Formats: sequence, C-alpha cells, structure tokens
Amino acid sequence: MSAYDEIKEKNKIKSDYFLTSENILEKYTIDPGASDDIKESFGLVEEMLLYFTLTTLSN
Amino acid sequence: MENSEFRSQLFTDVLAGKMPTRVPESCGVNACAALELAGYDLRCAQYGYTKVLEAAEKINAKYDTDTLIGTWPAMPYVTKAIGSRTNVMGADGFMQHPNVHIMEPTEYNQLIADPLKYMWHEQMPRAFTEFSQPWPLNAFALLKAFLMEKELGMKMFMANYEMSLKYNKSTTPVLTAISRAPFDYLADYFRSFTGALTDIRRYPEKVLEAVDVLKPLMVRGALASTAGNVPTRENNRVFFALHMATYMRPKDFQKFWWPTFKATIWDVYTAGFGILIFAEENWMQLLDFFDELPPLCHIMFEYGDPKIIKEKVGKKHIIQGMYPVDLLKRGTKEEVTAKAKELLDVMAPGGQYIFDFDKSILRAKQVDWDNFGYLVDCVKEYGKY
Repeated sequence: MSAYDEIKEKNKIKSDYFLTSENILEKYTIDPGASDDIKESFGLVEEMLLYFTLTTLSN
Repeated sequence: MENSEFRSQLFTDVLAGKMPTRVPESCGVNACAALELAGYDLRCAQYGYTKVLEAAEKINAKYDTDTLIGTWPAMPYVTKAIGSRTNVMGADGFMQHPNVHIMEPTEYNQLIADPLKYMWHEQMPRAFTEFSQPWPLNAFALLKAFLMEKELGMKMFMANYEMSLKYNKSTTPVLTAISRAPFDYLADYFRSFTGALTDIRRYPEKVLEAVDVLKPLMVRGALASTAGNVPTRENNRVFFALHMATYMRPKDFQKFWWPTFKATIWDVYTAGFGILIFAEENWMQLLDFFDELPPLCHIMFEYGDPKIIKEKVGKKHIIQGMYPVDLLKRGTKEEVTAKAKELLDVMAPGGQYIFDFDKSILRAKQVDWDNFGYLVDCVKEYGKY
C-alpha cells in the first residue's frame, strides 16, 4: 500500500452519508469481475464530491 | 531576457531546498487590481473569464515579474449560483468574507457524530441559500456550481499556462490544492470568529472533539485534489491559509489550534504532497512551533522581524514575504529599492527564500505602479547569488 493510500485509510471518514464503493458492493449483486470498475468509478466520484465540498463550498 | 524555463527552475530549486541562480520573486497581485488597472468595473468584469484574461494580458505584458500576476478571479458566478453567504460581493464589486455564524453551539453533538451529514443537512443550506430550495432547484444549483467551476477553472488554467509561456513567467506549480487548519475551518465555516473564541471557554471539550473529527476531512480534502492519483511533492502542493492562531492566547493556541493542524500537515506531507502555508498576521510568539512541521514547508509570512524569522524558521523551511507593500504607495523609487535590498541582505543568504510582499496588492489604487516595476527589476538584479 502506498503512503498516499495509508494516509487515506488512516483518515477514513466514518459517515454513512456518502454511498461509497464499499456500500455499493454490499448493497447490490455485482459480478466480482466488475467490482474493480465500481470501486474506481465511485472512488473517483467520492473524491471529486469531497474536494468540491471542502474547497469550492468552503471558500 | 530570462525565459520561462529559467524562471521555473528558480522556483523548482528553492522549493527543493537547492540554491537558485538568484532569488525568485512572487509579488502577489490580485485579479481585482489587474481588472481596475485595465479600466474595468469589478461589479461586472469578474463574471466569466474574458475580461479577467484581457486584464491579465495587459499587466503581465507590462511588468517583468517571475510569476503570472493579476489572474484567478474570485469566481462570483459560482458563489452567486449557490447564494453564498460566506462569499459576497461588496458594493464596489470586491468579494468579501463576512463574519457569518452558521452553526449554533447546541449543535456540536450533531457535527461530532457525523460531520459530513451535518454539513450537507444543516451547514450547507444555511451557508448557501440556493441549497435550501426544494428539490430539484437545490440539485440544479449544486450541479451548476460544480460544472461551472470545473469548466471555467480548466479554461483559466489553460489560458494562464499559455500566458506564462508567452510572457516568460515561471510555470512551476506553487499551489495545486487547498485545505485548512481544523480549528480555522470550525471558526470560519461553522461557528464564526467570535463564536469559536467564545466556545473554547464555554464548551472546551466539544471544541476539542469537533476539531478532532474535522481533521480527517481536512486531510481527505487535500488528498482528493489528485482524484485518487498518487501525488508528487514537486507538482502537488497544498495551501493552508492560517487564520485564527494569532488571535488566540498562547495556551489556547497550544491546546485547541496547534495539535490538529500539526497532525493534518504531517498526514498531507506523508501522503506525498508539498506544503504551502500563509502565516497570517504576526507569528513572532509562535515561531518555534514551525520546527515541529516536516522539512521544507513553504511558509509565507506577513509581519514580524525578518532576521529572527530567518534564523528560527529559515534553516528548516522556505520563507516568502514580509516586504511592506504600503511602501509602494508612499515611497520614492530610492526608498522602495533600498528597502528591497535591506530585506534581501537578511533573507537571501543560504537560499530557501522567495521575495514577496507582506500582503498582496488587492486594488489598483493601493500602489504606485511605477514603483512596482522598479521593485521587480531591483529584486532580479540585487537578488543574484
């Protein structure tokens, strides 16, 4: 795991508010072969929404 | 004439802790000053990017600065689309940050239990009037702001990059993302300046819990700027404008402000980012704390004794700032250049220094622009190693 991912994990936000990739994987029946796609797409959306929340909307 | 590559290297060297060929300068000039200098009215010229870029072209063609100046507007079209109460246009068109209180002290438990949930349910609709509209108007407002910022931000970024090459400015990225000290975030976006200072006396435990739960958000906000990609220290630098620290009693600073800020900085640094800090106001009493931060933080100082700052902070970190910008209004050419040489004599030895004002030029009438040109030329000549 890279230092970047370790810090991300260390600062995991304990909120059930955002529908993260982990939630999606638990909630729906998803082909295991597609789980990486889901993680990538939702991971990106989550990051973008987080950045927008904490920059543009906090400026 | 020095080209863009040469000037970029000056900044790359300084930010890496290496000795540059000469001291680079990064004299801050706000887009509003450039717009006014070009004869535009701030009340209408800040919308869009056309007028901003026209004004930036004029000022950058005229002054031989190391970095692009007078660009990046406050984007009132974004803040107005969401009805911001924290970022409003003043009567003369200049964007202001009113001391707004969004959260009541009785709501600390909600914030602490789930900060993101509290933000989206309570803080956002109060801070931005368009988000309190019924569905789907609130969703449209969010979408408009998100897309406008993304679209116009990319246009500005590309235009600025081309302008930097055209006018021989540095393209070394100094700032690529923004985050905050957790206590500053609590004060500026939830409890207000006065509310936060009152809370540390009335509800100290709640304040400590609040800054603890906000800290991961401050870290993740910085990390999110690379959209999941691993950063490089040279190309990804996170900016922290420090606000509340110097207004607090030292013992309150040590208890409520510093610990979560320090933890935020270390996490962002460890994740691979460079650090840029604006130490607002006078940090003379608190200088020793900077020694607890990772090496080569790029710290912009406003006020203080340059000799002491150089001695205490300048060996471990990179220092920028402290030239009194008001001298450009009241001083003669000789006084302006003499002061620059005096500051360079103290700060330049050993490197790790970028020349800059104590405060950016916000408005065109704030300075004599001939003096600005004399100053920039003086730093280039006298700042050679």
